Amino acid sequence: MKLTIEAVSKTFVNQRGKSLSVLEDIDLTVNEEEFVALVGPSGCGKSTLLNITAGLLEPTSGSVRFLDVAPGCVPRHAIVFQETGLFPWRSVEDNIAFGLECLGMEKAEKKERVKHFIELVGLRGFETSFPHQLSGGMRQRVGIARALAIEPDLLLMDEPFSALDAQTRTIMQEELVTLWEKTRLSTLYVTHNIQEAVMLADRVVLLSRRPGKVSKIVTIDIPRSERELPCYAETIAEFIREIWEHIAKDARAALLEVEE
Amino acid sequence: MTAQQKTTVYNVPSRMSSWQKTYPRYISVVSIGCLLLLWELICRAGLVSTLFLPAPTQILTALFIMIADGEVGLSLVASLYRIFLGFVCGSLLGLAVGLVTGTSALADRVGSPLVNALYPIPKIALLPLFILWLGIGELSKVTMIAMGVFFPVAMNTYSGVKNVDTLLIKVAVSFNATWGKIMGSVVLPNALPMIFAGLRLAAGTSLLLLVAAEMIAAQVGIGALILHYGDLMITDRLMAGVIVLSLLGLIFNLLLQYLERKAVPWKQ
Repeated sequence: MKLTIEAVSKTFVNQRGKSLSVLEDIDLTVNEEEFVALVGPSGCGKSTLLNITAGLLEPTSGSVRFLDVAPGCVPRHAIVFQETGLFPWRSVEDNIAFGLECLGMEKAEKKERVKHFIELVGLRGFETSFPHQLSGGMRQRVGIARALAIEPDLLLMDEPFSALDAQTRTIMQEELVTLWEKTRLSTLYVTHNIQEAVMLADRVVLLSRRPGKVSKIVTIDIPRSERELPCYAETIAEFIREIWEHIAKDARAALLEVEE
Repeated sequence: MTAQQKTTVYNVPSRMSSWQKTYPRYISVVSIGCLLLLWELICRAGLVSTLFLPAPTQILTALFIMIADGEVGLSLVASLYRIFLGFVCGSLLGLAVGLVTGTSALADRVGSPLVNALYPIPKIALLPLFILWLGIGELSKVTMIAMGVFFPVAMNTYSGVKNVDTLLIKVAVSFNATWGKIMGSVVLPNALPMIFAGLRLAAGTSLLLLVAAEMIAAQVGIGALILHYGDLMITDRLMAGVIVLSLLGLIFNLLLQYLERKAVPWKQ
């Protein structure tokens, strides 16, 4: 099963009737067991594209579809949000169980599944804690476990680590690599952090800004689990430099922009 | 070269300390005790007439006598019945109206102006009307208390529902949650702290309305009891009635606090 985004455009019309083209003619494929990172300066519409992919926002034109779907199977998305979106009134285990409740899963199976994912993301001992009792990194682990628990066909991550401090972020990136190698879910990962994209993704898709267009696709051909190794440091740095050069002009323009 | 100038040491003062001062808890108890003692001494010394201000011990004695002969019990049962019925009906109705107006755009358009227009009316002013409509019995008093409870609960529920975090709705939708699931698992829990704030507000209002209604139109009840002893100028019994009321209010509040802790465990 793979996801294709075909000729997707999105235009917002503001209250004064002025229209703003956010995405223009986006074509993108996420293959089975592929990790695609979407990188661009702020305001390039990367979160909009993710929301459209998840079906939470309607594109002005174009379509999003899964190809090679087995008959009778309804593909599932799961989203990990930047601000975690955990329910403050639910404990860790109940948060993780939310998606399973929506699937109507039986109690015993649900319990088993929740337990498995709590162990997978290293949250054992925190089952009954509430989100406000956890650190930022722990909270995002809950967010990830909640998304993984429904065993999605496509995992969407919207800048999941951007609210974390630099150290926690590095740790979480490493953990995500390990976790991803275990599950190998097709993933679309939105970030503005180039280093993060290069460390995690098979392909890095660069978006230009206003309107957002795919300006370049960079394939990172180093095995994911070896990207930390010193022997690849130079190649990684070269990737980062290449991508930064490509988007620097747009990023500077975004900095100067006044919010309308 | 000039002679070296003489210097001094400057200690950096701790400038926040006057804002961070704390005192031990027993200070409150001691100060109240002192106040009561002062009151007792003033009465014992005969500085004021016990007709206007009975001593604390005198009030307590009166209270125990009234409890022993069943007077307090009788009034309390009548009052509790009214306030309980009024509070439960009013808050359930308020909850329902708040939930519906908060979630349905149509109900919001129809109901909100109505609620906002009726809210400022002092509910006690409606008692004569309710007596006219429903008779002098319990129903008119209970209805008025329910009215007083309804508005704060409805308005707080409404704003609690309206202020739901759109991100959480998005999360629920992304997991394909049904409408009912979103209402029960996202919207309602999100509004609970606000609902409890409304209930606490309503508790005060309901006590006020209870006493007012009993003073206007009741044979038995704490309000009627207080008015009765006021008319007879038996001040210690009057004040015993006031103590019962203040205890009632205190217990009411503690009960709601307990319920809130049970229902909103994530907010502590």
